[in-house]
Amino acid sequence: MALLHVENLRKSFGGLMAVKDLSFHVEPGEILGLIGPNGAGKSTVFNLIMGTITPDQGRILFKGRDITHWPTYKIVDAGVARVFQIARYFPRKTVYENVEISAIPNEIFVRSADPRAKTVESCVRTGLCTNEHCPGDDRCLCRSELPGMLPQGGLRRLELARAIGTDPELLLLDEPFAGLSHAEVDEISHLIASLRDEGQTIVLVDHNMRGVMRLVDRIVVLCFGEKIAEGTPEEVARNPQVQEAYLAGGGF
Amino acid sequence: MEQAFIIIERIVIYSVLISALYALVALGFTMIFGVGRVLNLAHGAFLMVGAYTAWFAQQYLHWDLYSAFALAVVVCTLLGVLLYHGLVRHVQRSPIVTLIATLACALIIEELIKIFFTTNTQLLAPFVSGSVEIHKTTVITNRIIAFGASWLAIILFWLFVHRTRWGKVILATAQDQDGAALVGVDVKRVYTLTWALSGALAGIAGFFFASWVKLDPFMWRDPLIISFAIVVVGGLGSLKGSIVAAYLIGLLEVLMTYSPSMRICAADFRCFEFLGSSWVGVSSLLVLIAILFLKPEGLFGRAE
Amino acid sequence: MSLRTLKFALLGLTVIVAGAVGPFLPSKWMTTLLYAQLFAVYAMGWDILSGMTGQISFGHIFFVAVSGYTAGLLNLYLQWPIWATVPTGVVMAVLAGLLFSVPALRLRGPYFSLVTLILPLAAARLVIILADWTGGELGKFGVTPLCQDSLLNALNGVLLRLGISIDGFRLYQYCNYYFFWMLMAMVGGGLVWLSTSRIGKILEAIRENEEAVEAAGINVAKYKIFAFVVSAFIVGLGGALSVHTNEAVFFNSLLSLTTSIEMIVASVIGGMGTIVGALWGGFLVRGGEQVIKELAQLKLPIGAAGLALSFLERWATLIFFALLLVLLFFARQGLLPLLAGLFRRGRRIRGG
Repeated sequence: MALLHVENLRKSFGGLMAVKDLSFHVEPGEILGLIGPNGAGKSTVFNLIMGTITPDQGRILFKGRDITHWPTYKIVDAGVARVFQIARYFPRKTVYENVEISAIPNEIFVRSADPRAKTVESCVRTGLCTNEHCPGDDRCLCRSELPGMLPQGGLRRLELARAIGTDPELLLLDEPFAGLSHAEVDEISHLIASLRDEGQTIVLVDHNMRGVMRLVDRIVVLCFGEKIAEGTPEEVARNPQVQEAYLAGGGF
Repeated sequence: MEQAFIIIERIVIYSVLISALYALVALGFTMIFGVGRVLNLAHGAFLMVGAYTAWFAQQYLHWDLYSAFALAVVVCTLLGVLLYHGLVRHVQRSPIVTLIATLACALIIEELIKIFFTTNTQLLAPFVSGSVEIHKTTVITNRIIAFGASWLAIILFWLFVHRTRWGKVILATAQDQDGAALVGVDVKRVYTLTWALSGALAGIAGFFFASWVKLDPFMWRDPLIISFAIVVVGGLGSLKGSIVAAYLIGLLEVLMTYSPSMRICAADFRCFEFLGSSWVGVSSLLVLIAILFLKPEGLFGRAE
Repeated sequence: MSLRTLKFALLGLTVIVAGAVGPFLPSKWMTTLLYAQLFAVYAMGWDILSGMTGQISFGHIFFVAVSGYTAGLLNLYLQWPIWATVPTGVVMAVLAGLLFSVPALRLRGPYFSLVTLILPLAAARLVIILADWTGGELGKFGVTPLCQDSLLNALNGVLLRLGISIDGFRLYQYCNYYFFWMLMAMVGGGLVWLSTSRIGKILEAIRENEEAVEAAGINVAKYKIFAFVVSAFIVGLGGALSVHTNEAVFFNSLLSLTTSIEMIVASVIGGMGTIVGALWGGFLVRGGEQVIKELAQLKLPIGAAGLALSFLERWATLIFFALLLVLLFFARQGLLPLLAGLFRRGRRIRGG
């Protein structure tokens, strides 16, 4: 059974149709690329899945449950997490404390497990701090830094760590390579690959097809809110309609 | 039947009169909010300063009423500019700090008035004393003058904003501050102008508000609540919306205060008055609270 | 040392000092510090909601009023005893908080603050309309005292057995003073614990970036309502007890807009969201006001200075708000974060 089912999703802003009868699904363990030129409605799709905005029509099923009208936090608790293109962090909390918030369960009165182990694990998995940094985890280097001091690549790792901290079964990555240097792109794409190897299901949005070809198992191509192609990277690259869309948009 | 008709007539006339004053009271507040997104909690205190200035000039300097009125407007204009340049300009970036700072100013003004003029209630002499009969309703002449003056001020303000170059600049700034700055508008000067205008309008409103009701160091609260309620109901920075809202709130107010009141008493002869003079100002509060509970997202429209 | 330990240490120190100076205080200062302790409770209660989540309430005195008038009026007219009036007052405050928090959640930033300002204004109207019961702006005497004769007699008996004899009025003062001292210690302890717990971390995170908290799978609304309820509870508890200390319902102590703003000031002075800072701020505000009053009563022989001082009393509130403006300009960070910063810097230097 597919992990995520998107059925006939439609959303318009004013007169503009941002997403038009979009359907796709995500299989457990795969990386799905959601590709399209700028303004194709990719981020809108993420916003719809995360409950930031509600669709005009259609539904979203996660593990068979209809999550279409759920609030964001409930969707996150159900196992979907999103990495924003522009990092949304807590500027006055240290890196460690930023990640810690994700590890705290959404319970006020129920006594729950210590978030420390989970926080350190998320930091280590995303390379925010290495195991050598955290022998007893108390003087872990990543703890005392403020996010403002991190480079772009570091912020992206922080975003990833905050997302992973919620124990997602499905991870949505919004333009994970935007604004990064070449070296950082390599690092982050290694990181994504290693997450996939650990069995993490991922949906990855990007406008640049070449950058994600090696990373993804399957691609859905969006153009003006509509799905114009779907398949393996090779199939999609050979699709004349896709080539045309990209030549027109100049994005390929 | 006859009796009921007289009551209805009275309510209509009174509410038409007072609503114009309410619209004037809110005008400066709405403008500052519309143009600079600043909620000026000292707006009511501006009115109070205007009222006390006129009263002081008349009572102690023995000026005639027209000069006292003019002085009140001038003082309030200067106060507006002073508050903007001395305070608001520096804290504007943080809305919360602006709120605390302007509220502190209002309380400072309240204290100053307590110190210099005590907490006693004062009365401001009206432009014209006496009353006239409209059909079967007796109306204090001064209130008709306040009504006329309020509408005159509102119309002049409208003409200024829509028919003069500076007015258009203000409108442009209200719509898009950065855009206005890009095309060469000196935004700081526009703000100074709006604060001066807001002060002047508050001076006029304060004068009539005081001659309508009374003066005391706490009189700034009601006009502030009225302004706030009008902005909430009428939408941000919209003159037309403000006037409609002012008439709505004015009508409610009059309904509450002039409709026959009921004294409800307990067995031990303790009573409270349901409706009546102690309910002045309650309707704007009720409107505010009702909107808050029923439609909070409707507050202020798009201003989040 | 963790932040929690540091805060508990600072709180403990403050509480010990406040307790230790008690017997040495002249009567007037004892009253001042008694009210400073009450006010510190208000300030801490404000801080757990507004300081921590960044939703600045202008009208917290409303919750004081709801609880205080409920307790006071039930006692005055239905002769309910203290053990019934105080809990009922607190429950009413909590209900008011709950009722208000739900629609208020949808308001952001300055709009939230403005609406909170409306609450005490509306309540003031109601109190005046119902003046035959509430006493209006003058208030109403005759509420059962917190320290009743039976309690005082028992205390006196214990003290006499220990060989200490205290005159009646002094004992009465001690009783009130140490009652609020205990309240302050308990509220301080509870709130410091809460503010440094996971819940506190989430409240702080809400202040910094609500969207990011939601994205971490946390129901922001639930936490805000929780903070609201805790805050209304604490402030309401102080309000209900104050009615019994004053033995009256006073408009000026239960519904003064100034007190409402002073809560913000106390927290800003001490450092918003730090709890202990709000406690200190509370003492500074109330203590400072008393110092100004004391200064004003010094009859200095020197003409100009004497005149200047006699002005001080009348100008006290004004000076207070002027100082607030200065503070808003220059020291928005507050005392405790300033100290913590110094402390951290010191440690870094020592640590190399």
